[in-house]
Amino acid sequence: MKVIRSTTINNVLDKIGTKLNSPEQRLLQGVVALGIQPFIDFRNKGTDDDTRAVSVARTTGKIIAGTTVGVCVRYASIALAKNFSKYKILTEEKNGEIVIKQFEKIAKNGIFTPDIAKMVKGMPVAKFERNYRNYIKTWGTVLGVVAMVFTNFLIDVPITKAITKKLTPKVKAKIDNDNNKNARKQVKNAAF
Amino acid sequence: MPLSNWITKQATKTWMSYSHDPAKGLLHLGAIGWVLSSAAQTFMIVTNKDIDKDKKKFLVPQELTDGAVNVTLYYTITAAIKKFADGLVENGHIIGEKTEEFFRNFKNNTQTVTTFVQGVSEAFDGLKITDTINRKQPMSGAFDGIQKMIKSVDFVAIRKEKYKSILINSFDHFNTEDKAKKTLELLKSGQEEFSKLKSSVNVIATIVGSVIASSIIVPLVRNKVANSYQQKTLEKKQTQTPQIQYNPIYKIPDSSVFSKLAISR
Repeated sequence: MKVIRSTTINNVLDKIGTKLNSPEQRLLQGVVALGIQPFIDFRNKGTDDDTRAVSVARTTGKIIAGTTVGVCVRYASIALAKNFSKYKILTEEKNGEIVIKQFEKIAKNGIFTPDIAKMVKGMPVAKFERNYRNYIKTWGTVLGVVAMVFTNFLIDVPITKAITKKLTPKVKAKIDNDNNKNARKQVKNAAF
Repeated sequence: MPLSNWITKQATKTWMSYSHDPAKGLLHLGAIGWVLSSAAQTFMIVTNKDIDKDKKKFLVPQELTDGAVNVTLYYTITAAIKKFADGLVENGHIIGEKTEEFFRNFKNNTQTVTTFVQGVSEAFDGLKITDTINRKQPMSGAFDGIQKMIKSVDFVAIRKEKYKSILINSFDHFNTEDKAKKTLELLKSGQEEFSKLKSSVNVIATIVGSVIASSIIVPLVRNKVANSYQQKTLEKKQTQTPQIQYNPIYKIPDSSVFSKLAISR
């Protein structure tokens, strides 16, 4: 059993848990993928050199395009969800705790406000606010996924194509260079 | 149904499913995102005139396999890591200070928080004291059950057999109104800390799981599958190539002159 007594660790865990969501997840996935996946494809000797070169270039392009567009779309969608999920609440004190007495959506900016008046009545305000922040991030991600049906084809694909075209000859040159080095090594070893 | 009503309905469903468990949202929506990304990338390969046919024979299956493997592995690995992290917090292997302080008032000295919450949540489950007991979420169940017991206590009822069996060492903590109030405050403080810790740990575990699945495991698996598919496709192409038959274009006819030639003696 590990008891987290340190306030710092508790605060860090709390901050990470509340701040991190889908845009940060996508960014972290992209950064790690960029460091690992092209290398894996480069080392894939199960296919011919030309295919390997295109594969590395395409993987790199896909990661750069996917991550850039994915992160931007998610941030924008979450901002949209936040701006159109407005509500107002009345609170009361119950058993020494501030709880929600009434929940109402603000019609003008409340198109994404859920119908939760009955569900949140009596809920502690702190818990409600935390849950609502989670809801906005998740709903924003839902909107982002819908947007990505279009951005994947309209933006990701052209960017991936362009990067693949530019990188393929450079990767092919690197592969040829490696092959030449290996061939020279083999000749040297054979001579001895 | 008007569009605005439909949107509100979906928003309400999202609140109900994900507001208390944002990591679940990351898991589900991440999987959907990968499906869409794979569909778009496959489309790109098929329509890209700069990639020749033989390379497409590798890249299209690679991308489709990437998509299918990505989604399956992403979901199973990430869900497994999330479940493991959830279990660590729910079983009290990682707990906060306020949570530990609360349960210290209820458990006996020989019990750890882990064994206490598991035992108590099973007892609540058996006696149907709460609706939310789930054996895989013992700490949530323990908080819920203890809170209901304290709030519903009439101090005669505590002595009833069914309650005695559960918290036999703990009645002193809530057998007066004042004590019940203080214990409830401690419970709420511990429960709030537990909820935050569980949410944070789940989000971190889901993100780490998704990175491991999609950035390390999936590329290795999809390359192996795509390699073997390309090999099979090329072998099939070679065996289908027709054998070239070297038939003569013309035949020199036997000469009628020379065949009848005979040297007269």
